[in-house]
Amino acid sequence: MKTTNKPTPQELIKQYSIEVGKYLPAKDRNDIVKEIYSTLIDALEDREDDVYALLKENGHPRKKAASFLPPKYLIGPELYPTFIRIARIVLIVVAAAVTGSLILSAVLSQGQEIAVWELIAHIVESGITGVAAAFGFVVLVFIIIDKVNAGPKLVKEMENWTPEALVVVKKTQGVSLGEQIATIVFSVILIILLNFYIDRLSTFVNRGEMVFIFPTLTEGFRGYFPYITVQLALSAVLAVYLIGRREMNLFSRIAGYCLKGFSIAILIGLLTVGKLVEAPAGLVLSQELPVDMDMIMLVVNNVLRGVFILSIGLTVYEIIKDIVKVVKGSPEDVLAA
Amino acid sequence: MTILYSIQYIVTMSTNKEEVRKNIILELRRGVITLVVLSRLKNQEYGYTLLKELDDLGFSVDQNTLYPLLRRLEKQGLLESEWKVEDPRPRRYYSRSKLGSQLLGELKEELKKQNEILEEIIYENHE
Repeated sequence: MKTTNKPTPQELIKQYSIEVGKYLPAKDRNDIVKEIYSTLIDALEDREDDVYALLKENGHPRKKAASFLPPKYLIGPELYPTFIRIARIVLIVVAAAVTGSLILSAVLSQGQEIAVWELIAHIVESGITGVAAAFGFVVLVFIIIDKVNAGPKLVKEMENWTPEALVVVKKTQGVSLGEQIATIVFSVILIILLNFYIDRLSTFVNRGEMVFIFPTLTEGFRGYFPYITVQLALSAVLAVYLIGRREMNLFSRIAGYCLKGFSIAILIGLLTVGKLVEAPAGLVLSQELPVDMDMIMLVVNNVLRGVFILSIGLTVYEIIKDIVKVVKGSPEDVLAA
Repeated sequence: MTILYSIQYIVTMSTNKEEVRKNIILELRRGVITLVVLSRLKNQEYGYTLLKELDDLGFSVDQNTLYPLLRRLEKQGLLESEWKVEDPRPRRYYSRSKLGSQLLGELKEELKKQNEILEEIIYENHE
């Protein structure tokens, strides 16, 4: 029969020191462990105390080890406020998009009775999944940015900061870190959605007695996906480049205008497509609904066209505003002068 | 029930107050701990002896604060250390380096200046 002898105080201290070592980096581990052991033995002899009280006083091995280590972060404190801002925007947009798309699909669902609680449950379920995935993605992007480039660069920039930099930033058209990170996050999310999950937009999803039916994107619309993907990918690449430089130059400005021009061309192309969205074949609406499927599809198509026209208008406005700012100087430049 | 809640409130508040007081005193000590450690390590001294010495002098420092500080100061070149085998086991001895001695002089001067300023701020004009 196996028996367990009561460990001696020295054995306990040795074990404690080894446990602390498990949470230390290999480089300094042996040296620190040796010192902790030696000190604790001395403390025990000096105090003539209970070894358990001594170890309790020193705290959990992880806590003891942490006192020897510098603070570590996945996302550094310099980048954290930007992370919170972007995460908040992304999560709100994703939650709104999931909720909106599910409500739309419920309205368009085949002539089966929809239980409100089932719809709410599905919104909550999809919302949590979508929000969690988006949050994880934002965290991942920030970790990479923090470790690879922006984090250390930002720390260096903050250390070397002088009030003169305020003028320099304005004159050289400084780049907003948050804006660039948001561009990367949204571009990558959209690329993934368009290329890997787009089938969900034309799929029947069974949830018990309820059937969700999503409108099908037409072949004409899908034909533009490669162009949209290229535009998004190039936007993300430009954002990464701008994060590295932290200021606009002639190349990035021209590249930005080209990308905006490209997106306008895509949107104009989409406007020429007859139908963007159509109901899945064989879909019959509930007799109780006061509208027919053609009417709903007409509204959805027109809403999409409206969004595209609005986007074209906004992009043109942005380009003109930017060019005027460069040529005439912004109010900030006037004040700085 | 109201009396019970009142007692609970008073106990919580007094515990928090004590906690706050302790933390502020700790912060106050933390500001000068480097100076204290450097000033005591003219000759080689073992970490635990230093801890005891400071405790006896009324400047108690937690083990989990002192040992990491010693190592950090050594990495910064302000202290030197050496393992020596004494009694049945090895012990690590720390002492001030040349750079540490130089910095100590500057720190003492700075503390003198700060003390004069603090005297002025705390005791003379704002009592």
